[in-house]
Amino acid sequence: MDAELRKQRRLAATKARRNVFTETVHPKSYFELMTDEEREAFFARERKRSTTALKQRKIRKTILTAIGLVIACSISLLALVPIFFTFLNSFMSSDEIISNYSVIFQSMSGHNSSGATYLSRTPVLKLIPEEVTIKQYTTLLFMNPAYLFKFWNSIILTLPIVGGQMAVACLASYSFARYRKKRREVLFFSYIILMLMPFQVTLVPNYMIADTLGILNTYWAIILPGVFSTFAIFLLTKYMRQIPSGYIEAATIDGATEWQIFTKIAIPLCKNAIFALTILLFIDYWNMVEQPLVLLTDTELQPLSVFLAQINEPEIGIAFAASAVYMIPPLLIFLWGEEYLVEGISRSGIK
Amino acid sequence: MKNRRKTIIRIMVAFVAGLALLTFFSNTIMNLTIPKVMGEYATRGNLAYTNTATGTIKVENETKITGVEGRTIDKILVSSYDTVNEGDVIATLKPVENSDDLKELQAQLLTLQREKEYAERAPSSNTLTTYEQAVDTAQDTLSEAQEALTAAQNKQATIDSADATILDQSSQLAEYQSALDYATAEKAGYEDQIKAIDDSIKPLADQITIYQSYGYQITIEEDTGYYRFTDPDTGLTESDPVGTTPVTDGEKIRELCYQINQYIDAKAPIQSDLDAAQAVIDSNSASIAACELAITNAETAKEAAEALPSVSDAQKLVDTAQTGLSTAQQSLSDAQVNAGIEADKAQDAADDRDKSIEELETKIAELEAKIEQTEIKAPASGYVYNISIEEGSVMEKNQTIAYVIPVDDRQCTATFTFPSEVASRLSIGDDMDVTMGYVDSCTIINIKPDPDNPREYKQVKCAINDAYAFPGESITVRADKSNKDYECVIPSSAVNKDNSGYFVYQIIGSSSPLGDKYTVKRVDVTVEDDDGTYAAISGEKLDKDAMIVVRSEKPLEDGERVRLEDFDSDKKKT
Repeated sequence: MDAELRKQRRLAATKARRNVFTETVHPKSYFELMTDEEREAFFARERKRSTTALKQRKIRKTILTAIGLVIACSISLLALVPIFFTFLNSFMSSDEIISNYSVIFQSMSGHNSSGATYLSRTPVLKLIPEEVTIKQYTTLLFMNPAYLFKFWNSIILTLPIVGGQMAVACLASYSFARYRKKRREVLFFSYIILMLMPFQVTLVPNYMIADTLGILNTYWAIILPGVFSTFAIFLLTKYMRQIPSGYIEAATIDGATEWQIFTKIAIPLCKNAIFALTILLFIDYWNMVEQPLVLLTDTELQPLSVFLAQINEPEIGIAFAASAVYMIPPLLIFLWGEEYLVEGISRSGIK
Repeated sequence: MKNRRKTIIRIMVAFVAGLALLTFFSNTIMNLTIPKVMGEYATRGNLAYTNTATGTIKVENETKITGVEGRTIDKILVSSYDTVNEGDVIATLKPVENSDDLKELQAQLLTLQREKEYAERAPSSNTLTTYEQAVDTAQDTLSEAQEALTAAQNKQATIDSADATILDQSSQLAEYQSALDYATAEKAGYEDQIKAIDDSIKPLADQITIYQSYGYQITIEEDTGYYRFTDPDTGLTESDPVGTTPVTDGEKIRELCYQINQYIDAKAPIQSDLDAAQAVIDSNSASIAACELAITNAETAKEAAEALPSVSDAQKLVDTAQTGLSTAQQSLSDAQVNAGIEADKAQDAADDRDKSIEELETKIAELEAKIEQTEIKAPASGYVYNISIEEGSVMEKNQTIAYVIPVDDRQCTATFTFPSEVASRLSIGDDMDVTMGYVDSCTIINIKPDPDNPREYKQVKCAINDAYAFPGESITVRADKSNKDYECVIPSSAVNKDNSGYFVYQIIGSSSPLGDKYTVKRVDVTVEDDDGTYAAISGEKLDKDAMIVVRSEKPLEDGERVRLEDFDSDKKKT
């Protein structure tokens, strides 16, 4: 039945293409050929089929949504667990932390019991303290001035680097974006190469230069290389190049000087990117470990990030509180510039 | 959005400000919370220095010069280390200007002596008589009350008995009265018969009397009343028969006597019947009297019984009397006790008075002797030293104003205090090395526990072998040259003690990125030796390379974090 109908339709279509108009007899439809009983049965069957199909589709969608949700939640949980873990464990007593996690250090080489203990015992990862206490915080903040001094070391290192690097980056990026000559492109390319290089490659030259300049084991050994880092210049240049040239030409026609164009047009237009870079740089340099570890041999000058990276058995009792306090400044900075960061990243193509 | 950023900025500022404040006060807080301790490493060595001791030379055979209480020194005639002979004047005394003390003591003595005399003359008072009389009276009252009670209890029985007695006696009285009446009647009859006989005898007796006047010897027997006559002519007696008609006087007399004797013989039975009747009369009269008396008594007893109180009243009287007796006896007992106490007091007062009198007499004698004393003399020969008086100073009771030590044969000693363990290695007769002092040597003569700390220390007494030793010189001796070599010697202040024994705090240092951190760890130790300054310790858990807390700002606890005093500066210097 279907084949006959298709054949008739094909024939009618062919004739129509050849402009042959024939009065075709309107064929009876599938439903017209049916008897009432068959039609009722057909509709009933179709209703059942469509209902089943809808149900299956709904179930499938639900399952897929659930799976996706589980995966998303798992990933989120994996990302959030360390943070929760840190904050919740910071309210444990030192004794409880030591009893739970000291086995980690005992398994390290050089420890008395070495790895044998680790084989027999595993660290107990607990989220809920046996006894909620703020002893860790009081011990950390009231009885460990060294921690506070290291905190100020971090601030002393991070703020000049971020401020200096942003100042240099704004000026350099404007230059690279505004005046695109061949030599400048070469220079910019070299910046890109520098940015692409691993940090460890430039660490030795940095050390030698600092040693030559006599600033080794001083804050300047960290601040100066940080101020002239290329990452911010590269990103800001890319961002500034998106500024329409008509804006600058209009300003030029209106008599604006180069400085006025830079301060009144370029910088405000790049505000989002600047804030985003500021946040990223702050987080980056707040967490730096290698530079101070190599360039600052005096432990009293080292920032907090080095201490956290070196938390060992004697400090395990306050490790979580120290980490929690350590997280607060980046968190506040992020919350402060969250919108700038999202917008700046989305428009500059940072991924 | 702007508000959120403002809030976040405020939080940031507050966070940074808070950390800045904490940083600013960090050292202050740490100084307040973490105690500062001073640590020291244990050393290997001995406690040889613990065997040295210092003592002062003392002269055993010195003689004390005792002052005179209350007297003022006028002049001191010698100075320290002057040689004096026995009897030499050491100092002169100012005369006593005020003898009020003596007068006062004499007045007191006189008063006491008078009191004693008055007490001896005072009559002894017996205060117990009144109480004893009261007890006797109460006893009598009780007895009476008890009798009254008994009588009251037997009241009805007494009345019944009295009634029965009256009834019985009344019946007997009637019987006796009838018998009496009968006997009286009989008696009257017998008397009439006797009177008739006597009347018959009388004329005969008159005739006999006449014959007697004629000189006839007629005798009347006294006991029987019989008339006896012997006719001088015939020799016949009255009992011989006479003829029908007497003729002669003799016969007449014999007849008269015979007749009279016949009447007497007739009278005798009547007289006996009369006597018997009289006896019955007497007996019945007596019985009647007895019955009347018994009746009277019974009536009296009945009246008395009827007049008696009831049993309850009598019992109350007995109780009252018993109470009165108890009270009187208690009063007597109390009075006896009080009297005993008073007597003891009086005896004690008398003893005290006697003792006071004796003491006062002694004091007065001493005071009089002191008043008379004008100078202080040396009690022995030798050096005078340690003069503790000045001219014009007033001496106290038993004050030693100076000593006299022999010139040649001085017996000098010195006493040293050693720990018991050190002293245990010493023995009497050992010579000790004098490490400091101008003395040749000394020999141990006595070892005894130190009275202040008999368990820990002992006193070693040594005789000084030096003729030139003087009292008061300080010498140091060493008891034992050899000593045990201890592995851990630390200052004694580092050793602590509690209920579980001795322990020390070891300083456990740890280095971290936050700097050096020090905690103390309690380690139980055994104190092998201790001289008060240093102690030798040992212990299984004692780390000999660890620093030990010798001094702390405040009490420490196991595991407590501490700061080392000047440790950082020392480390920087090195």
